[in-house]
Amino acid sequence: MGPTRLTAVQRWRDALLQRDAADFDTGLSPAGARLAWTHALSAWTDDALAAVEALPGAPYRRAALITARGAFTAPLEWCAVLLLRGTAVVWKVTDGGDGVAAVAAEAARALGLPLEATRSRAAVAGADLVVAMGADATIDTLRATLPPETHLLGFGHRFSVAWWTRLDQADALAVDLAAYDTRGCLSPAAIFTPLPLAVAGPALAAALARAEARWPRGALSAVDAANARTRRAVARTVGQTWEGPGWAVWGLPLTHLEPVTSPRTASLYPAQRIDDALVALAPWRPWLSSIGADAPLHPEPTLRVCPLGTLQRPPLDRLHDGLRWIEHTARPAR
Amino acid sequence: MTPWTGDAAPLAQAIADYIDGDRSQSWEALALAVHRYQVARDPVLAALVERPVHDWTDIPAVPVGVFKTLPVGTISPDAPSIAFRTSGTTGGGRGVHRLHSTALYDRGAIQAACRALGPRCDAVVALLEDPAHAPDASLSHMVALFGPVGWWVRSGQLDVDGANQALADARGEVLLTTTAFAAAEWLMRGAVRAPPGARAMVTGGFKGRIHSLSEPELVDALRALGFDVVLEYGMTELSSQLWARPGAPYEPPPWLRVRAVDPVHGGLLPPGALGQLRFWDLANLDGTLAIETMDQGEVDEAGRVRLHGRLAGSPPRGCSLTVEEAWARRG
Repeated sequence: MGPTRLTAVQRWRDALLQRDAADFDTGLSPAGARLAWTHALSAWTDDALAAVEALPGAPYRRAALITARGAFTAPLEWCAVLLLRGTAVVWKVTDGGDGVAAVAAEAARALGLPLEATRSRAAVAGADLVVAMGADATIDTLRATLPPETHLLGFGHRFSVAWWTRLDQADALAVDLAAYDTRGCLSPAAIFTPLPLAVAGPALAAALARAEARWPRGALSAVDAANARTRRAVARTVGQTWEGPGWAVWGLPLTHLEPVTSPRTASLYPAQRIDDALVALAPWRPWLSSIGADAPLHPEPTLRVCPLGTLQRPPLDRLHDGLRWIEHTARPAR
Repeated sequence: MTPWTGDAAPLAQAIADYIDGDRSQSWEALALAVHRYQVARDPVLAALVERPVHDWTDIPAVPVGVFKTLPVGTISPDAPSIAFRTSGTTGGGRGVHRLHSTALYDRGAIQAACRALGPRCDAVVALLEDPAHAPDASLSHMVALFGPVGWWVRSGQLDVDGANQALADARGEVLLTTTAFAAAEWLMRGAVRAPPGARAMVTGGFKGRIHSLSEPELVDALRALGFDVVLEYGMTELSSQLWARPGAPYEPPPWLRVRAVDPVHGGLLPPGALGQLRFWDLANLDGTLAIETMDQGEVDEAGRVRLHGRLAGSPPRGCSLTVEEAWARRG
């Protein structure tokens, strides 16, 4: 008798942890890739996996996981949970994003777990569950092409923010900014603080410099750099800037709020209360994913709220874009 | 050049003279003079000056995206001005280019167009909005300078029958002016053959749009209808335009310089290297002299430009909102 699914997934996790994420084409620095890898896999504790296995519901027969070139670890937790629940998984990757998928699939198959990595568009054929991550328009297009009996879980682009009230939490906030080079939907696109910017800015700058020394920033794309120069110009005109090699802090008035990330860049906005921030965020509220905070918050129940430093280390059991996603990885129990 | 007063008046006159071919002042000297004038009046430009400006290449280029967020230029938003606005097709907010007068713009546009199209134009059939209905559209403003114009786009809707009839009725030197987007729609919905000797000016229009035709396909389709095709490149934030024959590099007019820069570090690249395009436009007296675009291309020794479209997309870019999405969702 082979190992149970729980044991197999635990071994799969352990096998993945042995891999050096610096070998993957992530765009991150070697240290940055390792940080992201460790963050992603550390959430799969034995207890967390056991709790998923105990969830009620009938497994889907076959799931197709379709990912754009987003956070390179994002599909892994879906694979883990679906495999744990007894679903065969096909991971459809885009060009250049297949290194992690191939390694993950090979390691899974060695343990008898049915995970396949492919570039083929036929990945969705025969799937009764499709999980798609990408632009909203891509997900809408996919939804229109799937047979009605196929269940689709779509996750479009989102953003997260931070509520920072204590200077001694600057390093925790810097970890949230450093992970994935601030490119993920769990990266703080805006940091709201009641601290005076003249104090908060230098403190966060120092923390980002420390983070840069430990996990250097990876490659900048042309678009990233050009967009950063645009935001920098705005900050120099209407706010304050603190910059160093590989990082920047821009202090901006709330009137110039734009919840868009820029690699290793903190956009810092003054707000006396979190409610002030939420009012400013109102136009983008449907796309707000998570709030990292160092003070108690009581937001709407659809938002994920977590301590600073853990924004990019989400537990398995959490709200994913307002959805307790692990419950949706199986058909509802009849 | 009467529309300008004070310090601007002699500067405007010098620029006008330069556009007319007077080289008693060098381009470099004029560029530095324009910069000194602008930096004293534009807080955005002043904020970007981080070291002494000794040479025209030291003049900071304002990223084009800043126009969507801040009032760039020497004219404050509450002062009387003529305003050209970007279409917003590349995402969300509309950038604004404010001018005291279009005198320099008009002078340069006419001269550059004459070089590319010839001096005479008897009838212009424009697949564009009438500037009477879209006074903030710089492209329509420019085309209105070319000759008697019929406008065949109203509230974004192309009047194919009207444009076709206008082409059938046109006599003499006929010019069709169109965005690539409008031309593609016109071709799809039943374009007529060109009158004998007619030319077609095609400009931009692919940015941010889903399109069924590439530029070469569009050019071929217009040529098949009998048009002599000329390409134009302009931006709302600029006051000058570049022109090209299909397949050839774009030629800036003498008062406009273009350089490619390393998109990551911002440093000037040698001739022929692919990079992010920056423009230094003397005619942009009321706006800002130097502008950093989001387009990429190669600039040769002679300053001519081969366009390579928008800046290349990022490597693994993550799942966060893009700038365009953020703007679009703000509404």
